[in-house]
Amino acid sequence: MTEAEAIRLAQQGDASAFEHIYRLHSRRVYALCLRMVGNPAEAEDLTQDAFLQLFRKIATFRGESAFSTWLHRLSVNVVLMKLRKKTLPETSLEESTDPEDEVNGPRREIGGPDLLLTGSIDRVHLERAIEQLPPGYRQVFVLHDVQGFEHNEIAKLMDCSIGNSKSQLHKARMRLRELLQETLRDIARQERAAAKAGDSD
Amino acid sequence: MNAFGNRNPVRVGALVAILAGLALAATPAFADRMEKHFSVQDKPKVTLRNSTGRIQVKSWSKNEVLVVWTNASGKAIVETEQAGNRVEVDTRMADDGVSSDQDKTDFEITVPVESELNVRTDSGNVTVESVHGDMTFDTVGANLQLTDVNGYVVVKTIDGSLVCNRCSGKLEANSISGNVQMIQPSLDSVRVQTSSGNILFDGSFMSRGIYIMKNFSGTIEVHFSANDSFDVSAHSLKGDVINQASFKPDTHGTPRPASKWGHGFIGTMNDGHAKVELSSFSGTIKILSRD
Amino acid sequence: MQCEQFEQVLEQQEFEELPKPALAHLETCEACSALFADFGAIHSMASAMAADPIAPPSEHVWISLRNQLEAEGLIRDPQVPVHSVPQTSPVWWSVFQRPAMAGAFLGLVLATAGTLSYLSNSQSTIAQSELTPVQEASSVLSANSVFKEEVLNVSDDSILGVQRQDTAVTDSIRRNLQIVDNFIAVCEKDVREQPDNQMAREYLYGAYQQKAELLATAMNRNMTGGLQ
Repeated sequence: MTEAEAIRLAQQGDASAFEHIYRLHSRRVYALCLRMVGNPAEAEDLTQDAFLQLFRKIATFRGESAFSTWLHRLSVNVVLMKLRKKTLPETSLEESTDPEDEVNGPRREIGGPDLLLTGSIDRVHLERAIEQLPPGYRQVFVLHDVQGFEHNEIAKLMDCSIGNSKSQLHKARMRLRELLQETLRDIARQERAAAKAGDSD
Repeated sequence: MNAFGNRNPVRVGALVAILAGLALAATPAFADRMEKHFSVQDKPKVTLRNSTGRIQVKSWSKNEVLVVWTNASGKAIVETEQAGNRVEVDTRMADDGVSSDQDKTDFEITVPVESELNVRTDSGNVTVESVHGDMTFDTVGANLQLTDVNGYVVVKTIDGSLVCNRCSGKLEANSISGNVQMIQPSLDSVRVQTSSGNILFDGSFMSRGIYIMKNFSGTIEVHFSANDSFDVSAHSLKGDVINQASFKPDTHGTPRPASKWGHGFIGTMNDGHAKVELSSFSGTIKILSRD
Repeated sequence: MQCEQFEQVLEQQEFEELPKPALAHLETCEACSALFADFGAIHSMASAMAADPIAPPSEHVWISLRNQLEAEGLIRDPQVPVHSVPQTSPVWWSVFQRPAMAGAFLGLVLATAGTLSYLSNSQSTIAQSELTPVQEASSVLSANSVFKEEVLNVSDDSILGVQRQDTAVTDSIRRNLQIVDNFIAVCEKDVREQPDNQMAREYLYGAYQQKAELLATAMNRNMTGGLQ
């Protein structure tokens, strides 16, 4: 069954068509949800919500855009609506005027010693670092750098200004850079310790 | 003699008239009141599509949606459908030739406090009270009054007006010529745009809130108190900007080059915890003290 | 340019589009150069992540989903349509006979408004705009002529359809179309006279969008026979 055929049959309520569409896209939707919320159980709930909404609205899909694009946006909306309903102060995307927030934010070591990341990090390191980001930074980073949304789209999705979106992305990247540099230092330290242990044997 | 034996025509006529009146009152009239009950779980989603007529939505503590309607001409068909936690109510005309002006269908809907609403209507008044949940309203000329609602509220209207009393959550409203009033709101996000409608915001700005109000013509009026804390950018291309507040220069260093066109200013009140953007093409912007 | 200024530029711009002063700073500053390179590495790796294989969700997600779809009646026998749509078309709908065409040019209208809005938003405070203000004004006005050609005739047709249904709605839509048309005319005049007036352009794009939405409302009411 092709996707177009599955969509047509799903619009008529065909069970196997629904399953076909689910199998085709569930992995990607789940990956998006997981990267946005960082919790597998919650990501599964959100995946289910996204597909439920999709199948409820599938009759209105007229093929104006790619089906996967439509599903993608719907999934992002589901995640963001869920996050909006939570009262998590750290998910606020507003520019903070509280000096303490600035202190706890990414340090700006301009001119400080830098470890170049290119060629030294892999995706596993990056995935772990993304998981450690504060939720607000993580959402914008995943939407922009991983999923490819533009700032004006993120601003609309997350109900913030374009300036805020850019600022959060910048802070996310700075924080990721710090986390990844710490990872590299840890690796280097472990390698030195291992080499020393090897020499003493 | 009684009426059976000696029939006085006047008395009989009166009796017949009384009995006829009682019979008429007893038979279902066109302005028939119908109701339907729907058992629901938490946070049901209620969708109502109507053409013209009054819509009242209230809340109660039961896990039930009650839909009551009356139709003056009796020519409107109201269809209801429930699928799980979703209740849909649709009005359609039995006879396509009948003008909708005459086919007013009035609704009274009672929903659990935590409910999602989706209302689409052309004309008539819509009132919603004490409902918490996301809501969308799509009208042509219906006037909306929302009181004590809390949620993400999206309003699209052509020339219907919107009055929000003590609303909280987020509000997005788009109107061509309808007015928008927000009275004593606790909204942390406001995006209101009209073409020729007036906009009034009379309430406090919440910390980290964003308030964007924009029109082409008409008046944008914002009332503030001395202890409010907000950054403001107010600009009218061809109209006036009237300001009663003592703002200090914007303290957040956000580069905002002052426009060389029209009248306006940017500034900060107290610590600038909220962000307010007021913009008009040819209308007047008024920032007035409530104190 | 100082390092702090460079960082502000990096925050505002996508790092592929740095202006010349920032590029010049990169050549002389090792720290900022390393920052820029690291951001590039993070961005490249993140972009590739979207295509990464990742374990699918547990099977219970599909089972729960399927149960919910059945409970809501969305899964039915293949022969039975999910939504029964009235098949009879009202006679007046012949005035607006091609919904696919209507959808297509409404899409054109919205795309035009969206594109013009994007052109307006893509200006930055530092990078030079690709179009000079006069050129941008020209693009605005030529887009408007496309808009007018495609849309104005439709508006009258769609209103005629609505007229049969509800005079109050028709009158409201007509009146408000006139309001928006007046705004478009005023804004166009301003943009012509002051091509570098960004605010006037933004309002013009906003007016186009409002008109498109108003026409969409009119067509929506028209095509569905009021609110069926």
